[in-house]
Amino acid sequence: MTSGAHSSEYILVVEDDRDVRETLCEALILEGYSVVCVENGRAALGHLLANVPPCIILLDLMMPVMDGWTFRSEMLKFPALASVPVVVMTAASAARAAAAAAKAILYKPLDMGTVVGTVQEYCPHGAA
Amino acid sequence: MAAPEDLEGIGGDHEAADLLSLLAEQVVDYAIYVLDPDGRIASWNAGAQRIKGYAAREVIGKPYAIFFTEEDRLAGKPNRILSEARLHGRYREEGWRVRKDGSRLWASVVVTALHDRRGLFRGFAKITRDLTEHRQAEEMARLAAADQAARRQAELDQRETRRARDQLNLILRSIAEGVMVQAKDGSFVFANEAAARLCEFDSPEALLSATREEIFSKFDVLRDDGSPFPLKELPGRLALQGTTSTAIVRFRTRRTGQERWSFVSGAPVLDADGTVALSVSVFREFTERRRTEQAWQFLADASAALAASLDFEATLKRVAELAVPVIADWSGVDILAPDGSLEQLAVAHIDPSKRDLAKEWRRHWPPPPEGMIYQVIRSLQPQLVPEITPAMIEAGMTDPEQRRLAFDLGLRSVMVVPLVVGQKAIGTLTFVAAESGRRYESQDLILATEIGRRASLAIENARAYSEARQAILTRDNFLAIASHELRTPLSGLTILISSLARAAASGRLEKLSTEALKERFARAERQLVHLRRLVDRLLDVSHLSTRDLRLDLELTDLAEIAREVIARFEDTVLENGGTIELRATGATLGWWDRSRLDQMVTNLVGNAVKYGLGAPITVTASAGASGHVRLTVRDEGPGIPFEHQNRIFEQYERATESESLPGMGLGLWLVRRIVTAHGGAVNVDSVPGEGSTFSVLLPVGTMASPTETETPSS
Repeated sequence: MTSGAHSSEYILVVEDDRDVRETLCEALILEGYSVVCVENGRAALGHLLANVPPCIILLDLMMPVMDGWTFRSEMLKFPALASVPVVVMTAASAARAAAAAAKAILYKPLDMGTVVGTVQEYCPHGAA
Repeated sequence: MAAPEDLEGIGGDHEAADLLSLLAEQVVDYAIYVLDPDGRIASWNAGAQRIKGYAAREVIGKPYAIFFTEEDRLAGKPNRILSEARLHGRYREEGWRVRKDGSRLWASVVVTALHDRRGLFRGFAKITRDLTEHRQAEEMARLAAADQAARRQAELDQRETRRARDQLNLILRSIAEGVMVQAKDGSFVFANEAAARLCEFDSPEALLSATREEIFSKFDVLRDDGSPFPLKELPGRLALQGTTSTAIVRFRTRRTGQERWSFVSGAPVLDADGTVALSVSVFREFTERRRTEQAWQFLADASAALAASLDFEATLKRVAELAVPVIADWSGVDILAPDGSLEQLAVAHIDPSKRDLAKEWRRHWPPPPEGMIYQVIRSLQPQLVPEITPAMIEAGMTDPEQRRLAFDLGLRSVMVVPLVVGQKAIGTLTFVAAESGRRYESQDLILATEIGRRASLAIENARAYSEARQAILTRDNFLAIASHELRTPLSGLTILISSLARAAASGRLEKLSTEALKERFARAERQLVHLRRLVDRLLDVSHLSTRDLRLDLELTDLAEIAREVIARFEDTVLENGGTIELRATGATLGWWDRSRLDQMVTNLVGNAVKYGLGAPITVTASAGASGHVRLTVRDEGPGIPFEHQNRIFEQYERATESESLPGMGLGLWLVRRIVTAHGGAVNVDSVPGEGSTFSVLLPVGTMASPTETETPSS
C-alpha cells in the first residue's frame, strides 16, 4: 500500500503482477495522486470495507485468489460501495471485460497519458 | 375293209358297181353318203349311222346342214362347202360336227361333186371320218405337255422362292437385331434368335408357341425413365395401325430384376391393296452402352459427393447409396477401428427392408480374418469373385443359418476394394450383386477400384483439412495466449517510460531522487528480462513443435535442481501465507540435461504455486526402483476435473477453465516433452477439490545416451 501527497481523494489499484502494480502506483504518485495498491480482489474488498471509498478503482481482471469479475460482484453486494467508479485494466477481449460492468476499459499495455486522462474524470482534485 | 387285190378279177362294170354299192353301205369306219344337188341326203350307210347316230330313215331327204354346229349353220358354212366342192370338184376340211345326241365330233370331211358320164352334175359324195378320239388324244397330249411345262416352271419358281425365303430366314435369324413380326390380330408369327433372347426364351420356336400374355408376363416394359410403357403404344402395335415409329424401351426381367435397353422400331407391311397385313418390329439392344453411361454417371455423382463434403463418413454413406442399383444390389462401407476390428459404416440395398438384414448379418457373423475384406485390407489389392458358387458358400460359411441366408439372398457376385490413406488401408468398399443377376467382370472392378481411389483421396483431403484447421486453431489460441502473456510486462514498461516522459515534460522529474530513479530502471530491467524469457520460451516451444528436442547430458542431481527452483518461488509462497517443502531421499543423480530439467521442475512447481497458493506445497525427490529417480510435486489447489486429466499435457491445454489465472497452456506440454526425451514418464493424480500430484519418473541413463526419439507430433 502506497500513499500519495494530499487530500482524502485517492485511487485504488488492484493488480497481481508486482512489477506492473508498483510501476503504476509510483507513476500515479508522480502525477500527484494518492494511491492505495493491492494484489488481488480479496485484498481490495478488505481495504474498501475498512476505509473511505476511493474516487476510482483501477482493476485488473485476471488475478489469483479473487479475480476482477468476482470482486465486482462481491463489491456490488454492499450498497455503500456500489457507486464507486471502476475502470478495468485488461489484456482480455472487450466482451469479457464488459462483464465486469466497468465505467471504462483500459487495454494493456497501459500508457500513462490514457490512464491519467481517465482518472482525471473521476478524481478532479487529486492531480497537483 | 377289203384289200384292193380282192377287187381284182371282179368282172364287168355292173358287177363292180354293185360291189361298190355294197362297200359304201357296209363300211363302218367312214360315213359315206350322197347329197342331191340341193344338199339333201340321198343315201346313208352303216358308217354314217355309227358316226352320226342317225338311222337312214331319219335323215334321207333332210338337208345335210343338220350335221353342222349352230354357229357354222348360221354362218352359212354348209352351203359354202357345197359351193366350194361344186366349183373345185372337191372340198376337204377338219371341223366340228354334231351328232344326233347333240355331242360334237371332230370330223375329217371330203365332199366331192358327182358328174355322170355325160358330165351332168348329179349331186355330192360325202365321206366323213370321225377323228374325235384322235383329236382328243392330241388335245390331251398338248394339254399334258403344256401342263408339264407349267409344272416344271412352277417347281422352278417354288425352289427359287424357297431358296430366297430360307436365305431371308437365315439372315433374319442370325442378325444381332431382334426381329419380331406380328399378324393383324397381334399374335407373333415370326421371331429371330435375338428377339427370343430379349424375351427370355430359349428359341424363336418357344417364343412363337407362347401366348402374348405368357410373353409379357416375363418382364416389365418401361420407358427410359423407368415409368411403365403402355403396351398398345409399343412401335410394333402402332405399326399395325399403319404408323412407323421408334422408341427406347427398357425391359426389366421380373425373375431377376435385370434390365435391358433397346431401340425398338416398328413398321407396317402392306398388302397389294394397301391395307396393313403385318407389322415388323426391330430391337437394337444397347444395354452395355447404357451400363457404361450409368457407370460413368455413378462415378461422376460419387466424385461430386466426395468433393462436396469434408465429412467423410457422411460422404462414404452417400457413395454406398449411389452405388445401388447402378452397379450393385448391395453396397457396404467398412472402416478399420484402431483395435483392428471392422466397423460397418454404411450399408445400402436395392430393397430397403433388406438393409437391416445386412446389418444383422454383420452383427452375427463378423468378417473372418482370412476372409475377403481382411485380405483386401492386408494386400491393398481389390478383389473380384465373378461367380459365388454354392461350393464357395459351403466352404466359406460354417454356420448353417448363415449358409441358408446366403442362398436365400441369392448372392451371385462380389467385389471388394480398399480405401487407402497414406499407404495404409483404413477400410473397404464392398459391392454385391444378387437379385439383378449381374456378374461382375474385370471392367466392373476397374470402376469399383476407381471409386475406392477417389473415396480414399477425399478422406485424405478431409483429414488434411481437419488437421490443418486444428493446427490453425491451435496456433490462434497460442497467439492469443502469448499476446496476453506479453502484454503484462509490456504494460509495466510502457507505464514506466510514459510516466517518466510525462514527468520530464512537466518538470516533475526533479522531484525524483537518484535512488527512486535507480529503483525504476532496475524494475524496467526486470521487466525486460521477463519479456525476454517469455519470448525465448515461445521460440523454444515453436522450435520444439517442429523439431526434436536436443539434450545436453551431464551428471545432474535432481534434488539439487528442485532446491534451486523452490528457492525462486519461496518468497511468493510465503507472501501468500503458504509453505513449500522439499523431501529428498537417496541418490537422485542421473545423466540428464540440467537446463531442461530445471525448466521441467520450474513448470511443475510454478503450476503448484499458481494453483495452490496459500496452501502447503510438497516436492519430493527420491531414488526409485531399477535405475530410476522419482520427482513428485503436490499442491492442495482446486485439483483437475477428471475429464481434463488426460489432455493437460497437450499443447495449449490448461488444467483449469478459470479466466483468473494467466498461462499459456505450454508448461505441462513442455514437461512431458522434456521427460519423454529423457526416456521417462509423467502423470498426474488429482481429485477435484483436494489438489494434484504430478509424478515424474526419470531413468538414470548413461553418459552416452541422448535418448530423444520422440517426434513432434506424438
